Amino acid sequence: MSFQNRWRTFLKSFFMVVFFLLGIMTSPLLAVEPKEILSLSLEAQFQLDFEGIKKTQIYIKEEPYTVIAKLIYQKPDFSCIRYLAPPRIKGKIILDDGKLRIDYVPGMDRFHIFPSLNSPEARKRKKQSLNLIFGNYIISQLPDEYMCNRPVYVILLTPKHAGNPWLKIWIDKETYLSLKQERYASEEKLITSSAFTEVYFGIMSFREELYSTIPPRLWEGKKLPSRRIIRSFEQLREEITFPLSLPKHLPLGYEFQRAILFNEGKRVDLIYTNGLKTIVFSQNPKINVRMRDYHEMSFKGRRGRLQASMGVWNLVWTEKGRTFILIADISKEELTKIAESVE
Amino acid sequence: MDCKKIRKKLSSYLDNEVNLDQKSKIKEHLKKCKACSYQLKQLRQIQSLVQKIPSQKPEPGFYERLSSRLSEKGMSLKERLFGWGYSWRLSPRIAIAASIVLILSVSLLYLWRSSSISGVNIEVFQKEYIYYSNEMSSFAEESVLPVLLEIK
Repeated sequence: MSFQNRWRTFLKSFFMVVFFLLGIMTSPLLAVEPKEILSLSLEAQFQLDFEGIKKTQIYIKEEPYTVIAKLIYQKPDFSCIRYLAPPRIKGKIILDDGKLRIDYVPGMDRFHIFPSLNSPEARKRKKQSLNLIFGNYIISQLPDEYMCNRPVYVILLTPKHAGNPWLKIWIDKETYLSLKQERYASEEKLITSSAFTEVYFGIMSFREELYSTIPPRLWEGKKLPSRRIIRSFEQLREEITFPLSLPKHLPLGYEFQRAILFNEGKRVDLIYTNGLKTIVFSQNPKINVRMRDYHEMSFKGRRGRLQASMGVWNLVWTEKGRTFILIADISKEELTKIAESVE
Repeated sequence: MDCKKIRKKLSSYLDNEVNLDQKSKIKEHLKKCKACSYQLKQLRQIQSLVQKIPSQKPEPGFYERLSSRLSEKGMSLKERLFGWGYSWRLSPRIAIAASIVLILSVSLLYLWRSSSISGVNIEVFQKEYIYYSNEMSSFAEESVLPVLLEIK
């Protein structure tokens, strides 16, 4: 082999090694960070025209409970959830047009309206709560997988504080839509598994057809119940007509988000979250709260009624002519600590 | 007299139930006040319309038939219609006792109602909680949360 050929082979090998090393060095810079993947997934549904069938299995009781729903997203802010199973909720429909969220159960003729969860304000709140998740969870990325024949990122959220669920999320690499989610009580114990079994991108159902399932008499002229959002305790004290009670203790990672005022300041709901779970502390004029299957409990000289419902605790007590309701998806010990610390 | 007082007396004036002094005062007022004169005119129209309504009389022989049927039972019409009144008059103690019981019952009912408080099902608060959870959580199970109460 001539010197020229040897020199050529050397250069070829040298550049191959250099490009290989450069590739290794730059690939982490080009890859999307898991936190960014989560941020992008929050906004994904508002940038798509999408329809899919979602199957959720809940493992709270001995036998898993299955909920199947058809989900429709239409950009910029429309969503629809239509329940297909189990039979007792089949036909229930939730429509959200970015202004109002309508919840209708046809068989029972039950109809409720709420503020939209697709509005710019609601989306901003979800982003804020994502920042709480970044503080309360360790975010890690697992090897990519395939779901519904589409490549997906797999992100694992490990709680920093005990008593919080683990979360595993499968996010579509192209659209950032969350296609599967598993929630674990601990590393091993699965609570819910929710996954799309069918996905169709670029499909659009007619909204008029979806709204036509609700009798107009139920929603024509309906207005949202008056509720005011207040973000600071100082302002809240000025607005309410009774002395404000606040818990001194909160589980690690939880923060006060906002207060909702009802009935011209006679009732207030304080909302706390850690980004994934929510605690609501409702303060009302003296009311008789009707409950079933509860047991009485004493805490710090107070007598309350405690009820567990689908993993969520409801604690009700009356004191100084006002009724307090504490609702949270936390341990009984933590719930009691919060109730005891109310001043 | 001002319009308010005059209007209260207009009906009595129309029925000739006011004394002469009042009558002359009302007359004087009506001469000056168009609104009260209009009110009187309206009252007169109503009165004439009421008078035009034909009175309904029972069929001929109704009272006779009723009386004979009651006498078959051994009681006069008056006794049958006002029997309760007779018994009350005969036993005033029962009437007094019944009145006391009635007053006590009404008072107790009032006290109970004023002390009782409104009732609300816990589900109302749970529904709000689910909505807040859906709103607050970044990765809420949006298709499961709204049906948690239905499937429990």
